Amino acid sequence: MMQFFDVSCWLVWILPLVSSVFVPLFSRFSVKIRNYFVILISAITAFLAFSLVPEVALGGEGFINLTASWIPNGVTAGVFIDPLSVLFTCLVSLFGVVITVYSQGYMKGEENLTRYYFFLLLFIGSMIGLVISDNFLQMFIFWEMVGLCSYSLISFWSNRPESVKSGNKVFIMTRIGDVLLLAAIGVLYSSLGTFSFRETIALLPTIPVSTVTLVAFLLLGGAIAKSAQLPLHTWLYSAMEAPTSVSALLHAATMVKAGIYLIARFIFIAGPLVATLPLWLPTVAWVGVLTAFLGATMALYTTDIKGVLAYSTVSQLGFMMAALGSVGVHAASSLGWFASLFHMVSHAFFEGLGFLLAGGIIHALGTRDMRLMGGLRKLMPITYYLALVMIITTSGLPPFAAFFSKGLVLESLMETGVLLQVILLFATTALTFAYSVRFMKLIFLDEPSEHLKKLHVHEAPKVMLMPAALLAILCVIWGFVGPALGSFMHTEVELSLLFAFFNIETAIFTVILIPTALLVYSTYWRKYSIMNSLKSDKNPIVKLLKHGYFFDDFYEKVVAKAVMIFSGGVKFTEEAGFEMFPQKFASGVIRLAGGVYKYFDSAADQFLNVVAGQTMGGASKVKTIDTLADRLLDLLAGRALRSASKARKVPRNSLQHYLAAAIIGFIMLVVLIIISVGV
Amino acid sequence: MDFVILSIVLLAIGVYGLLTQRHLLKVFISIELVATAATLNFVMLASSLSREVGEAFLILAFSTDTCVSAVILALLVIVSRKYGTTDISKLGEPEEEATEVDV
Repeated sequence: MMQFFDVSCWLVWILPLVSSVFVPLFSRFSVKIRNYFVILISAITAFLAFSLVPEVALGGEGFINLTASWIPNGVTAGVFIDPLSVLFTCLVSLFGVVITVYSQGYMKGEENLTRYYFFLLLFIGSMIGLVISDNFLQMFIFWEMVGLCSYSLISFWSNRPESVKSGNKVFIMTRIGDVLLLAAIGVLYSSLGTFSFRETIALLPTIPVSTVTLVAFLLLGGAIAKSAQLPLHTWLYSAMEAPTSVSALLHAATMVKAGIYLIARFIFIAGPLVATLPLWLPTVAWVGVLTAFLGATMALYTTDIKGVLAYSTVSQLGFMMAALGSVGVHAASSLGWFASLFHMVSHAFFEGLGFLLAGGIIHALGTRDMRLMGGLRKLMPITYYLALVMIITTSGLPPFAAFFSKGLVLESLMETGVLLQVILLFATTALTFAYSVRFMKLIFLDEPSEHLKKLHVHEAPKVMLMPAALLAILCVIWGFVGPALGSFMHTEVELSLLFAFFNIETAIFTVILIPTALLVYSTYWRKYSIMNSLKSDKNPIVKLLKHGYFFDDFYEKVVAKAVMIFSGGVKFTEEAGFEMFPQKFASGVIRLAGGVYKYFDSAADQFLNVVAGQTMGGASKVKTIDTLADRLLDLLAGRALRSASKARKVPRNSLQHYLAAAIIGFIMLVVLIIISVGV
Repeated sequence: MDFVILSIVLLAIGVYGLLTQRHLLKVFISIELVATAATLNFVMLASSLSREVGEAFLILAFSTDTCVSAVILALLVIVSRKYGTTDISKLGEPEEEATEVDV
């Protein structure tokens, strides 16, 4: 058993990484073989991942850290097996299977599928590698690789300009986080001399708190970008240009959780130290709470079916972040840490389910606009019932998964958080309910739209419904696994299912749901005129929400413009300074030549005249010479002038001009060196 | 610390080129300059602090850089053949106005 474990914890991430390279090879044989190969590999990966569970569950406290030599005398590669990494590994590999099967239906008939499956397998491998790495450096490499996969899969339809644009945007925005993470790792390495988690756990208390604080904030920056927290959340909405299967895997279930993983891992490493870092935990909590609240408000007015799910994801990620911010000195054994991860998994289930169903609807209708839907309840009955499960779970109604997990998040925040945070989170749960019901109403319950009548809508194929059904079942049962998961994660807090139903959070939740339900009912069912103003575009709040608080406009108009203006300024300086100067210099020389020509011309003229006047007598010969010389001079000067005027028209950026600039620069450098050395 | 200055100068030149140049090849050269600056910094710091890790990573960086250069050059040829221009400001323009998703 132990031997199998030794192999499986390495194979679980190396296998998909290596197999991804073989995808193009198998596609040479046949498309079918390639598809089965991908499913087979992801299934084996899932098996390997779940085989890690008993080892950790029986292994008791602590973690298992296996290493292999990578760079001599420096860095070792390794795997770090503890409940946190195994939880993530299982989740990623499970979703890997679900999505590869689902893709068989959803991506059927698309071109370039070899590229798609290659990146899918590469993503599964690198995401598992990210969570199972035993040092920061290895983690960072995989962190970058999932970013690359995200970029390539978002821009999968490379002939659609908006896909390519979104891919670029996502890549650039997540890059901000990558840089911050790299900086954090650099600071850690320079003060500890190691990348390894195990050694960091031992050494972290020995370095000054200010350094740890710096590292913690830099890591938080990385997590904010990767997990779409405020103010960098806008990339997640743009990422919806990806195929829906990709959105389900990367942008709902796994990749966006990398930031949550990072913070959870840091809390695990830092232990009780985390509570002593000034301002860090409150910042994490506030980022989470604000993200949760604003994300939910933005989901209220989006008409894009995937947009609602995207903002919902942003909001739920905020919940997880807020829970992580509520850990105290108990760190990784506290309720907040566990609640965050518990909610992470239940969110993966219901949001993944949401995306799979949305994929089916988009597949059938060919649009993402919810205003063109409605009345799908009769046309797609199975999708409807699955969506019902999804919506009930999302809004946190008992007894589905999110009821328990969200309850725990609220409970942990009520213990340690500020009152305003708790109020905002409760408001967010109400908003979640509101946008969920609106989602249902617009898609399934409304009158069929004109667009729908023109189409022959069919139920999604089985290969797409089966994965969705699996996730729906998990949504239902996951909540009851809570206590078992709690002991698996070594949480010190006693969890009981019964208690979840009869506590103060549930009471408050029920109380605030009633007015929300009435509000939604009067807006979308009865359509009272007073409520119509809530929906109309003239309402400034609506405008604000529809534009996502103008975050994107700010980035595009201000930040991007500023960069462009700066770049333009530099270019202008270059043109004015480095290009115009040689230009001016050249034209100065040309003018000088012109002046010299004139002077010489007249001087020679006069000189000849004088000579001619003095030798008036037998002057005819001399006069001939005079005219000849005159002509010669004319000819020469004319040619010089012509070539000078030609020189003026030499295009800028010509090699000569650069050469001139380089020489001037060289001279300036020499002068500077002489000044600095000589004096 | 001379090499740090050299590296900063190289980086500055590279960034400057990235900001001002519109020709794809020049942009590529600027990227290479930036990469060279980073690599130089890496190896010099590693040798002055006598840490082998940096030198090991230098090999990694070099090999990666070479691969990247090869791919970029290939892409450059394809782009200039397909679009008939090497001006990135022209390449960046969408061929048709992107349709906005209704929000």
